[in-house]
Amino acid sequence: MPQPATAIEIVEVRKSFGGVVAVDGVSLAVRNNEFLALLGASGCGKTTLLRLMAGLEAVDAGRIIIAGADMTATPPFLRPVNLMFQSYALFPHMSVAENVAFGLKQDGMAGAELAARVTDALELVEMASLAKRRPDQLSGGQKQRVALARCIAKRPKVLLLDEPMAALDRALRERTRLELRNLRERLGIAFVVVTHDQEDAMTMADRVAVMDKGRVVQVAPPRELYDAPCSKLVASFFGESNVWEACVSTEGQRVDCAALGLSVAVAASLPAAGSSVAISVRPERIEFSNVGDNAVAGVVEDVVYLGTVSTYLVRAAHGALIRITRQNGTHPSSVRGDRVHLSWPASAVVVLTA
Amino acid sequence: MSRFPLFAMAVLGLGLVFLYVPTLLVIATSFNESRLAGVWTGFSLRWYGELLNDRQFLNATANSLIVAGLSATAATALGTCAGLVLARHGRFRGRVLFLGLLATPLVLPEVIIGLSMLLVFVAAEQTLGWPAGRGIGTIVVAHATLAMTYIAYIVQARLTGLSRECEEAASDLGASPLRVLTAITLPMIAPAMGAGWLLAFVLSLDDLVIASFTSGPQSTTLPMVIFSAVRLGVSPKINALASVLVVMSAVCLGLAAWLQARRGGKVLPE
Ligand SMILES: Nc1ncnc2c1ncn2[C@@H]1O[C@H](COP(=O)(O)OP(=O)(O)O)[C@@H](O)[C@H]1O
Ligand SMILES: [Mg+2]
Repeated sequence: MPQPATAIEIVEVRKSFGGVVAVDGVSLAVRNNEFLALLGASGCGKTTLLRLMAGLEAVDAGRIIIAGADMTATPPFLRPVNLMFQSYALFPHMSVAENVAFGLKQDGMAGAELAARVTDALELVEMASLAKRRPDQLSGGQKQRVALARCIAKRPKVLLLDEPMAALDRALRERTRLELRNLRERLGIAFVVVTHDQEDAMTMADRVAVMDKGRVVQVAPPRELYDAPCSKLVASFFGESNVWEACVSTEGQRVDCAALGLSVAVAASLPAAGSSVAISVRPERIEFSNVGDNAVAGVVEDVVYLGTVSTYLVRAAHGALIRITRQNGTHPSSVRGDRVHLSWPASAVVVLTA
Repeated sequence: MSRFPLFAMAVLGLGLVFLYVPTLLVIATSFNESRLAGVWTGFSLRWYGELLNDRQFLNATANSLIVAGLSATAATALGTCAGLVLARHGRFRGRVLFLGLLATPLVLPEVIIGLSMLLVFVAAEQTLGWPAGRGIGTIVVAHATLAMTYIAYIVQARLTGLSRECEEAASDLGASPLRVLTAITLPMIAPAMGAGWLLAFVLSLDDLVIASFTSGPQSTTLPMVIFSAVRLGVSPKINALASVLVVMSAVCLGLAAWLQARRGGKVLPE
């Protein structure tokens, strides 16, 4: 049988708790071997979506297809996916090795094979030396590794991780990001990682699904989300941006922006003339120059030095505050109070219709 | 220090004196050599020695221990099931009724429980042929029925304080519901079950009323021996007997408290 192209596919899934809609009609396909991040603010339904995939919650409507088989009604212990809980949920009455062995024993594995698989999994996360410890004798980072080993030992088709980095300090977070990426490459299975941190999502994922209020608003590779967000929400999630309200002009490829006092040239395709949109321009796409597709004059209000770059806040004549990021040393630096000219190309303007 | 804590301490002290001095007096007199309660003639283990030669006492002790052990075990099994259902099966229909039915034995007078048990046993004997007369078996059933209520509450309280995520993780790792129960849930609530068992053991050991209603001629328990002996007059031997019962109960309760404290559980729901 040929391997299906998607590891897990969710079709129009809904779930509510009492009156609270947690997941509101989500469709999502995770490819084989893919590292997908579910990104969204706290309470937007990420954990619920993950629990639906694992079978720990029953869907109200919709279907869940895992490795080509419809598993909407399959109980969790028969699904070839494993979930790493945000709390890690290690079994307190078992040692590290027993925790990792638990899932394998359920498949009837025993003896030397079991021991080898447990050691393998613990070595992958560099925890083999602490195999005899109890969970309450481990640090937060060590618990996370054991929880990870316990999941990967089962060699699931899809590994689901709920905020795996939430309890780790900054240095450990960065290391863990890289390790999770490497681990995915070595194991060759799909990872779905829930996070509320856009940096986590950007650095680890092949694709990011941005969630808001129980819905998936955009699924795309990190670069595309950054360069071409589909909504203000997505744009605001990924780094700083200048966002202004505008109205599509009757002249072709232009929008009128009152805050800038400018008819902005746009390269992207636009909706019908007269519709209101928002435009977004990344701070690093704006230059100090008076030649370009779009140019405005303004006064520097503030300068923030950030090492390799500086951020300038410029007040345009019509009132808009424009944020610009420039590499230090590549141009004569401006100071507070300077009158400056700013310009950016039409291709730098992203049109947000939602 | 203000005067108020001093006053409070005095009241507390007085309360404790009233609670414990009589019991301590019983234990102290049990070591008195003299036959007369009011006259201390010297320390002696004489009355304990006499107990050991007393067939009636030995029989009653054996009966009490057998009844307590069996009824505590049955109550733990049944009470754990009830506690699991209450804590882990959500809001099923009739949950409130179930809770109420469980709590009833806690507030019903013991005399009523004993009497109704007796009526049930007699009726069952006439219609089903079981139990054939009353004895150890009927006391065990009666005690288990009462004690399972306590255990249901202890187990429920423990489970409610325990996150479900471990059980969910086990299920996610491929364990069937039965395996989750035996490999994860039961080991995690084992201390609460142990404490519950000890509590049930003590409840049974100390019970006079229900045992009197449901016992037969060959199944006299320790409290029954003490009660009937006292009616013939207090003897130092009875003090020794009572001391044995007090110490057994205290040890069990202490052990139960220790088991509960180890994992931060509660003895009874608040
Ligand atoms: N078991 C539950 N019972 C009731 N409401 C729940 C339950 N689980 C989640 N919710 C609600 O569903 C919404 C989404 O929750 P969750 O999936 O945990 O969000 P996230 O993981 O993105 O922070 C929240 O409003 C939350 O209160
Ligand atoms: Mg969450």
